[in-house]
Amino acid sequence: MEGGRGRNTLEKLTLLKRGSESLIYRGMFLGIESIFKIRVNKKYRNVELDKKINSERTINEAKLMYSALSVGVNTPAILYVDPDNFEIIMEFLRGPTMKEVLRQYEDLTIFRNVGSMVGTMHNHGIVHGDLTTNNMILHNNQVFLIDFGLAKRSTEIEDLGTDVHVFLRSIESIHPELRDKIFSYFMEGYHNITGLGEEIEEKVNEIRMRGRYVDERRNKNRN
Amino acid sequence: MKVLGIESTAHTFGVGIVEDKPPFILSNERDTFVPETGGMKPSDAARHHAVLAHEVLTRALNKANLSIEDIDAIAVALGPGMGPTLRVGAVIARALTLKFKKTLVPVNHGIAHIEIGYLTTGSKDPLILYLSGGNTIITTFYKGKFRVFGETLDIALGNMMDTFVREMGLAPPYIENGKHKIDICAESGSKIINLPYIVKGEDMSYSGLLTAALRLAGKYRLEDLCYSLREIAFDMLLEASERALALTEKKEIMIVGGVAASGSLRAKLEELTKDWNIELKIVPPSLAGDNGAMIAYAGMLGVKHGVSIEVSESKIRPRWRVDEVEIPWRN
Repeated sequence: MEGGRGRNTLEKLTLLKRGSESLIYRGMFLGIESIFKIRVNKKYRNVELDKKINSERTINEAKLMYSALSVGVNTPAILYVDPDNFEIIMEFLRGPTMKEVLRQYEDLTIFRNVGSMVGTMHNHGIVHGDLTTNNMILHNNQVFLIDFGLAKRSTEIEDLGTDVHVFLRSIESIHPELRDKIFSYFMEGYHNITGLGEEIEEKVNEIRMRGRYVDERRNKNRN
Repeated sequence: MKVLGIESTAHTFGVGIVEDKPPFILSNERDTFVPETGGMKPSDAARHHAVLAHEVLTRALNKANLSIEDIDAIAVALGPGMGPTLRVGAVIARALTLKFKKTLVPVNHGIAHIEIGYLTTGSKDPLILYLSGGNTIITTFYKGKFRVFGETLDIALGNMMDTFVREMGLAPPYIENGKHKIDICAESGSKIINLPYIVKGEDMSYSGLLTAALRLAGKYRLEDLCYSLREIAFDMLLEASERALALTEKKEIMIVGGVAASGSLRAKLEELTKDWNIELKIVPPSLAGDNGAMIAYAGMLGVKHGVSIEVSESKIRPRWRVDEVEIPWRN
């Protein structure tokens, strides 16, 4: 853990949390309070495949976060990337995740802003890939998007629709009672920016119907 | 209370009997339809079930040392599954209900897999992977229902591996000495071939992987192809599971369904759970595949909480999703 360019300046790292594919540490980098996201080797994976996935995703995530930031989307600023060690250092943003916020919070209109941010990304051909309330941080009353590990470049309606579908699925399973409100604010914000609201909602329904054991699919085929 | 359960959603016709005190399962008889070549034709499986139903039912009652008079309720898996085979189980359940004046209890096949998992593994609040020939679902219980975090967007993991080994001429049978043919084939493979790895949030897509692997047949060593297909398919599932773990912060993973018996999957899951410092609970092999006892057990939980159905309403539901079912016994 020593020798790297970034490493010399850090004092100590505190493990903040464990993500699905990485360890998230907090520490100082060049005098800035920072997050160190380090992808871990997965013992269950074939070594070759593991290395390939981790290194591709590290580079991909850094690139796409930077792209999102440069078109005006709220994401932490990237400070340093080390693809060999699967490491990204980014600015630390203090605040709870939206998943935590939603445990007590009543005002859901903020999801309009989330919808506009996702819309802005989509207008610029950036798809997040894992839009969950766990990947949104409320910092200074603004939502910031994090975890671009599954992000990609695309302008295909299919990919944009999948992005929104992943978000809908996540609110449905974690906040079922707030689903309708959150989604309608989200789509309002999304539509204002992209003008694609209806097209995307249609796509989301279509994706859902491809799933297994979906009743609507049968009914649709019969009509 | 004693409940008789009938399973006929796919290739297995099963009858099980449970009672509401340990050891719960009094008998669990079944017969599985295996076509000699090719995939399963629903009408052939249905014929198999209709021919053997009487015998399996009699065996289940005899093993439990009971007569039909001793049974309080008839539970039947009304879905999800294949229409023709579901109808066989439903017809028998309706007939028994009417003739012997029993209570008829509708059971969702997926919920039955999950509930027999809770019973046999002692799980309290797990992240659940429901893996079988027709299902690949990541779910947890929350506020009255099982919420689906992730699932396959097209074909199921089990179905995908079955189809691949069948197309390669390695199956049927799909299982030999407790091992799936893909595992036997993969044992002498080691090279990872580039195949599509598709995870979308917590969802997975397997149809592209299958198509790509089939297209590469003959261009690579079959063993390497089997190995790559299996590794990539399992890794997609484990990655999606890890995302769900990060999201839900559960301390247990419970594996249910026929694919739970896979040794290679178990080895990977052991690494994953060790790494996360959580518990791995796997339904025992004897109750992993489709069976009547799990239907009877889920039916018993239901009937104790007022779940029942009129014969005239007891239509089969080939597309009955687990997240549609109200679960009054877990509230």
